Amino acid sequence: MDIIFFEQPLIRIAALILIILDLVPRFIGAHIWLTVVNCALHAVLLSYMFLAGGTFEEALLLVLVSSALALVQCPEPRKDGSKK
Amino acid sequence: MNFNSPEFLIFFLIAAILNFVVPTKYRWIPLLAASYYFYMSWSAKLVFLILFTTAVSYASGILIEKRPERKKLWLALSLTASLSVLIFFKYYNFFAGSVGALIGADLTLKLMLPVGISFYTFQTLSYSIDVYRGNIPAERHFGYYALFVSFFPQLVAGPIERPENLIPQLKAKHRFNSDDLSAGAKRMLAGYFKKIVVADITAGYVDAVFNSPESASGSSVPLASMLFAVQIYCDFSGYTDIAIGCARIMGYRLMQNFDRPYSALNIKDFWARWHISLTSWFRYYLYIPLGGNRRGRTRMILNLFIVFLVSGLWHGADWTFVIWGALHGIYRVVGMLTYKKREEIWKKLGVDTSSALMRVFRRTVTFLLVCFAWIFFRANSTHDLMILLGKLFGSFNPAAFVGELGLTLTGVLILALAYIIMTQLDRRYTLPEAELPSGGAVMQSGTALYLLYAVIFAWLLLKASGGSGAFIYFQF
Repeated sequence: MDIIFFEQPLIRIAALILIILDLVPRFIGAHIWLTVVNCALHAVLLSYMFLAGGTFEEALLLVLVSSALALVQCPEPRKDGSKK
Repeated sequence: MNFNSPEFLIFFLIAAILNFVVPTKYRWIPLLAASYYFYMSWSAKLVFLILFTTAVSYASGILIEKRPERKKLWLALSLTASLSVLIFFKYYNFFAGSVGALIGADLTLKLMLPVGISFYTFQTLSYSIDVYRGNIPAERHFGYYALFVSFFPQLVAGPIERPENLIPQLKAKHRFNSDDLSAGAKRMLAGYFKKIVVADITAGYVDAVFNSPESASGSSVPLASMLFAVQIYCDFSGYTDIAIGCARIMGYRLMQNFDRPYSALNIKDFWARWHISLTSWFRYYLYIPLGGNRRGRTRMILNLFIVFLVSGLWHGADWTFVIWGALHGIYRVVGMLTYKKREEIWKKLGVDTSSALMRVFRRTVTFLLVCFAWIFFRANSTHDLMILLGKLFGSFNPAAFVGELGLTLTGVLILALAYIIMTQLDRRYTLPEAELPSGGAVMQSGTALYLLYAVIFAWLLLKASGGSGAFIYFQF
């Protein structure tokens, strides 16, 4: 087994904040400012990760976590075409 | 020019702009030029084959209408011409190699397999048969007909469109529509995610086993076949999503090709959900003309078996594909013959076959049967197939299940997350009801951006590791 991804404490903390931010819309609803802040923080963290020697795999893992969290919060269409 | 290359995105942008700015009457000209340019980027030398098939089926369609007293002859001419090209270029070396192996001579030729030949040939066949049956009028405008055969989003790997669906759309007026743009872009993004993030990353683990079966152990074969099930689904349905998305942005609706096939409850259900355009093609143009289920049980079984054998051969010129088709035929026939008996047994045992638990059980059994058949499909040769099957039944060791594929913790996490996201994308953005502007789920900009990030990072990761990224179904 490989891994300890996100070895640097700063990256771990930032990743944790991003995951929490991904979960916030579930409780307070989707707001455009939240999306903007979240996306901006992702961009900053990903840039920092690469500068600090991070790999594409680590970056991919982080955005997959965010994608999964963001996606499950989207309403699912019903068979009749309306939304839940 | 692969769908997953930057060149395609530039090409598509230009084609989409031309689609909207050129007046409807002349729109077929840039679209046909774009389609032929797209095809020639694959195999410029073999463009005359698609032109030949198009010209013969076009002419025979008109002759069927103009000279109905000899329509059988014109139909036979069209079918013979189209099938001759397909059989020669795709199957000559297969048959010649098989005969040569028996008599100890090399009868094979150096032939290049034209990209997408099985797809566009089937499209021309359906046109000729439909005109012969009087289901559709013959198309008089050669430009529109040539565009129907070569329409670039679905040219090299389907969906295999029906003339009555596509030709009227090619003639209709299309205005730029933001709903179409949004739905098409979502569909394309879902397709790129499936192809680049799921299929291409999974391919590395699958190839490790199937490309060197001698060094694989029995424990890795079942896992590799399950991963291949995910890979081929995401590869092919990803391509289809991109094709449908591209066409949708330009205002055209292509038919659905998949409907979550791995949630099928039995093999019949699986084929109603997998490669729907091909399955329905075989039903209308082969199974029913053979007599379907109208000529007794024995004949129906024979017809089913013939369809599955031909389906196997359609996929590739190798015995592995023929056996794969035959295996699905056996599944289907055995399933049909034992259906009543199985229902009786469940009833005697007091099991409710419609319960949630039984549905999970039936889905699992169907998935495992399909995965077993994928071993035949993916094996590089019959020799490799024998090795893989020998190891599968000979030396199974569950303890070594994951390690032998070279799966790391990061790899497992990436695959698991990618698979969860893929299933969610399928539930939200690639189902028929999601085609409706009001029926699609809202994809928030943040979600789209994360998916885009994932596609880009996976693409960079694959580029760095030298992955090919070619679509599996392009070879058919």
